[in-house]
Amino acid sequence: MNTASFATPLHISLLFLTPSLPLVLAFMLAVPRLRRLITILAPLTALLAVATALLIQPGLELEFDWFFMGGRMGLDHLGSRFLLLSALVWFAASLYTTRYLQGDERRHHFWFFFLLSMSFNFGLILAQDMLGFYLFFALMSFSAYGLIVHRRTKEARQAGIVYIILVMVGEVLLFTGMTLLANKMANIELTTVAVTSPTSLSLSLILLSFAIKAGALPLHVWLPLAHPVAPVPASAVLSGVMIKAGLLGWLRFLPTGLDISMPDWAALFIIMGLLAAFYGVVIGLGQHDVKTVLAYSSISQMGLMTVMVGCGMMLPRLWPQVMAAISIYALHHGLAKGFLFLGVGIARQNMDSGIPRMMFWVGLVTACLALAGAPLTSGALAKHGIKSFTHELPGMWSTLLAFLLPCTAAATTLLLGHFLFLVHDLKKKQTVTPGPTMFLAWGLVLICLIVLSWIWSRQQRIDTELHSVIGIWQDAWPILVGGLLIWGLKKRGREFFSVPAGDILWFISGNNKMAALWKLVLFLRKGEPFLELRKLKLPLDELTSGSRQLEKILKRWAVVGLCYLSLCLLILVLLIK
Amino acid sequence: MFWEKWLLLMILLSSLIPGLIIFCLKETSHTLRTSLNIFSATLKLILVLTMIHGIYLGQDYILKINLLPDVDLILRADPLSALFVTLSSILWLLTTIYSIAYLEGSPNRSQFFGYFSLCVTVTIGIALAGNLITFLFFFEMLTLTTYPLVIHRGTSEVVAAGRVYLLYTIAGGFVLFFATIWLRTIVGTVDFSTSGLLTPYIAERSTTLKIIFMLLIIGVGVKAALVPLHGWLPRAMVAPAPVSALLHAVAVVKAGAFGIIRIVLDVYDLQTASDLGLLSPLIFITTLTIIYGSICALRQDNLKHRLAFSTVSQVSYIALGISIGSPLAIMGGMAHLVHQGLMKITLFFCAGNLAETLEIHEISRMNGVARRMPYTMGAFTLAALGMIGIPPMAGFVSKWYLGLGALSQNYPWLLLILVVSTLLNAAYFLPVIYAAWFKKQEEEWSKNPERNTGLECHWMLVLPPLITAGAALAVGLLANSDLSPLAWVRFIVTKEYGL
Repeated sequence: MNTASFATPLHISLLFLTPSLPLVLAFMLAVPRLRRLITILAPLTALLAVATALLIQPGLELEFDWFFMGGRMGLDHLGSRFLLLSALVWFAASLYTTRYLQGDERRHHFWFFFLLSMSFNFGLILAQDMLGFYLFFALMSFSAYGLIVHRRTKEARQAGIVYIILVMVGEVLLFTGMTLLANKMANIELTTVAVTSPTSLSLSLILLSFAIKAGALPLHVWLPLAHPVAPVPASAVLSGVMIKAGLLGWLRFLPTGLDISMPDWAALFIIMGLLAAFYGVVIGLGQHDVKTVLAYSSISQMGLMTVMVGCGMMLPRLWPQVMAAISIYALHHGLAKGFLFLGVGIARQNMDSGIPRMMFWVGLVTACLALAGAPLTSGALAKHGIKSFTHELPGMWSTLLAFLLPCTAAATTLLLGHFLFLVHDLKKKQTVTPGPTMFLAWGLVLICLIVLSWIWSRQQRIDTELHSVIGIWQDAWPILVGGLLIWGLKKRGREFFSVPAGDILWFISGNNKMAALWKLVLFLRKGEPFLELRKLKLPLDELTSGSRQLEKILKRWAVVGLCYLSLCLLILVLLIK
Repeated sequence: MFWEKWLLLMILLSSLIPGLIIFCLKETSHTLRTSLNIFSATLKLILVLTMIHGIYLGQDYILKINLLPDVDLILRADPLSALFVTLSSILWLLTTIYSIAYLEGSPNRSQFFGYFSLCVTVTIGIALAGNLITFLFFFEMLTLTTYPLVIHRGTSEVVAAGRVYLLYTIAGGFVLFFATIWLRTIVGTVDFSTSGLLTPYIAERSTTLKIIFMLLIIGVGVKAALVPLHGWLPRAMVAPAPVSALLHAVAVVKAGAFGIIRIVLDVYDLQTASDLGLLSPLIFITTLTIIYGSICALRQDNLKHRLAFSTVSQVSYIALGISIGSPLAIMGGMAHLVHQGLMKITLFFCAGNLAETLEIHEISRMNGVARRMPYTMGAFTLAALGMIGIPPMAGFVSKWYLGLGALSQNYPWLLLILVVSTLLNAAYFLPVIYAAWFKKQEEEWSKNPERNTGLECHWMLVLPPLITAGAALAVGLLANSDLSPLAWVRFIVTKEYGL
C-alpha cells in the first residue's frame, strides 16, 4: 500500500471507512438485537462520506495490491463532487427512512439492501481503476434490486424482472467490453483510468452498458417502472444518485484526460440526449402517478447530461470545463430530484396545521423551479455551465443547442407543472404522520442545494452575468412560457395522451408485433390508454422443450452407444482431414 | 530425508488406514468413528500444508514403487498436484463434518465413512500420480470406491441409477486403459512431464497419436461429463447430499477434468497437441458442453438435478481453458478447478440442508425458504452469484482469465460463449434466489428444532456451507494476494510450464 505524501491516517481511514462501514452495518443486521442501533447509525455512515468528500483534498490515492485484481481507491475532482452529491442524498434518505418505514414489518430487509447499495455506490465513486469500478457497479446494480421489489406488489415484481434482465445484459456487455479493452491494453490490472485508444467495439460495449444505468434512450424502459415502485427514500436515491453511476461510468472510461476528438460518438450522444430530453417530457405528461412523472423527468434530465458528455467528445480540449459543468449539473439534479421524491412521501401524509403545509408547498415549488432552471436558483447555475461551452461547438451544433436548450427548460417546466398538479390532487393515506425527522431530512436537502449553489456562484464569479436583467430574463422566459402553458391546459381540463409507464417496452413485449401495431392504430383513433401491463414471460419453455426431447432420446442406451461411436468418427474425421 | 520421502505415502495413508479401521467399527461406536474421521482429516490437511510449503521452497517429492517388472507406481508432487490435493483435503474435512450431522441416525454409517475415506485416498492418488499407469490405477479405483457411496440408500431406484453410473464409468475406464496400453507400446513408460515426450513421434505416428489422444479424452471425458458422455451425472443425484457434493466438487467430475489437464499438458504437452491439431476439436466439445449443460439445467425443477447440469456446464470451463492453450486461459481453467469446487460444494451442502431439514427437493417448493433458513440460503446465494460470474466472486476471476486467454489466442467468438453461458447461468440461478428470498412462504415448516443454539438446523450442517461460501468469496476478493489459488496457478503456469 503506497500513499500520497499528504495522506494522514485520518484521511486514509476516512477513505477506507466510507464504503466499508455501511457494508459492515448491513451484515450486522443479521443480529436482531443490534437492528435498532443500526438504523440509528446508518445516517451517520452517510455523514462520514460527506466528511470524506469535504475533508479530503482531491488527489489522494491508495493502492491495495491484494484486493481483487489490484485495486486503487482514491478521490479526484470528479469523484469528490459525485461523492458529495451521493453522500448528501443518501444521508437525507436514510434519515427519512428511519421514520418513513416505522410500521413496515420488512423494514430490516429494506435497510439491508439500502446499506449495501449505499456502500457500493460510495465504492464505485472512490474506485480509481477500471476493474474496481466494474466490481462496485455490478454489486450496486444487484443490491438495488432488493429496493425495487421491496413492496412485493405485482408491479414491483414486473419492474424487478425488467430491471434484473437489463442489469444482466449490462453486466455481460461490460464484461465483454472490459475483456476486449484489457486484451488491447496488455495490462490486465487496468490501473489507468483514461484509455488511450480503445477499439471502437470495446468502447461501444462499455458505453452501451453504462447507458442502461443512465436511462438513455431507448434503454430507459426499466427506469419508469422501477423508480416509482420502490419506497419513497429508495426512489430518491435510485433517481437522484444511482442513475448517475452510468454517467460517472461514461466519464471514467472516456479519454477525458487526452485531446482525442470523437465526432461520431459526440453526434450520437448529443442527438440521443436531446431526444431523451423531450421524449421524457412527452411521455411523462401522460402519466398519472406522481413518482412515474418524476422518473420520466429524470430520463429527460439525464438526456441533458448526455448532451453535455457529447459536447465534451466534440471539444476534447474543453473536457475539464465540461466535466466541471457535468458534475455541477449532476449534483444539482440529484439533490433537487431527491428532494422532490422525498416530498412525495410527505405529501401522501396528513398535515394538520397550515404552517407545515405552506412550508411544504414553498419547498416543492422552489425545487421544481430550480430543476427547470429558473433564475437565481441552482438550476440557472447548472444551465449556465452548459451554455458556457455550447457556443464553442462547430457551426450547426451551436445554433441547434442555442435554440433547443431554452425549449428543454420550457418542457421541464411543463412536466414539473403537471407533477405539482398531481401532488395537489394526491389522495392522502393516513399511515404515518410525517415526524420531525422526515421534515428535517427533507428540508436539509433543499438547504444543501441552496448553500452549494451560493458557494458555486461565488467560486465561479458569475454572479454579475447571471444576475443582470438580461441574464435573468434569458433564464426566466422559458419558465414563464412553460408555466403558462401547463396552467392553461390544466384549467381547461385537457388530458394528455397517455402511454403506460415503460412506454416502448409494451410495444416490444406484445405477443406478436402486429398486435402491438394494431393496438397503436386503435389508440391513435380512440386516444385512450390501451395497453395493459402484460406479464413478461421469457421464452424459456420453448427453448427448453427441445432440449427435453433431446435428453430423453440421449438417455437410451443404443443412442448413447451410437453417440460414442459417431463422436469418435467425427473427431477422427476432424483430426485426419 | 526420511520424512520427505515418505510424506507422500503418509498423505495417502492418513485417510486409507482410518478408512479401513472404520470398516471394522461397530455401528454404535459413534464417538470413536467421529473422532477418528475428524482426526485423520485434520492430520491430512496438516501434512498437505507441509508438502505445499516444501514445494514452494523447491523441494521435489517423489516416491517410486516397483509394481511389476517395467511397471512403476510413481507418486510425485508437482505444483499442479498440490493444487488438487489441497482442494481435496480441505473439502474432505468440511464434507466429513457435514456428513456426520447429515447421516445422524441413518443405518450403515461405518460402511459409508469407510468408503468415504477410501474415496478421498483414491482422489489424492489421482492428484499425486506421476505417470499414466499410476493415474489409470487410481482412476479405476475411484469408480469402485464411489459406487457404494452412490447406492448407499439401497432402494431399487438407487441401485438402478448406480448401475448406469457403473456402466458409464467402467466403459470409460476401459477406453482409457486401452489407450494407455497403446501409448505404452509406442513410447514406453509415460511419465508426466512437460519435456515433450511425444515430440519425436509426431512426424511418423501422427495419426496414431491423434487416435490415442481421442481415446484418452473419451476415457476421462466420461467422468468429466463431457456432452454426450454426461448421462450418468444427473442420475447419480440419488446419492446422499454429501456424496453428491464430493462427487461434483472434488472426486469424480473433478478427477475427470484433472485428467484432461494432465493429458493435454503433461502427456502430450501443449506444443505437440496444437501441432497435431488436437485442441480445436476439444474447444468445440467443451463449448458444446458448456451451452448444452446450461440449457438442460434451465428446465430442471429438482434442485439437485439443476445443480448437476450446472456442473456439466461449469466443469467444462476447466477443459476449455486448457484447450485454448494461452497462459492466461490455462490460468483461468486451473483456477476454476478450485473455484468451481468451492462454489459447487456450497450449493450441494445447501441443497442437502433443505432436503434434510425441511424435505424440500424441488425449486417450486422453495418459496420463502430463506426466512426459515437464512444462513443456508445466504451461502447458496453467494455461491450461485459466483457461478454466474458476478464480481468479486471466484467465478468471475475464472471467467475473466478465460476471456482474456481466448482473446490473446485469437478466439473472440469464445467471449460470446462466455456471455451466453453467463446469461443462462443467471436464468437458472436467479429465479431460485428470487423464490427463496422474495416470494411468499406457502408451506408450513416446522419451527427451529435447535432450540438451544437458535440455529436453523444442526450447526455441523450450517457451518460447512458458510465456510465454503466465504472461501469462494475470499478467493475472488483477494485474487491478487499471494495466498490465493490464482497466485498458485500463476506459479504453476510460469514455473512449471514456462509460459
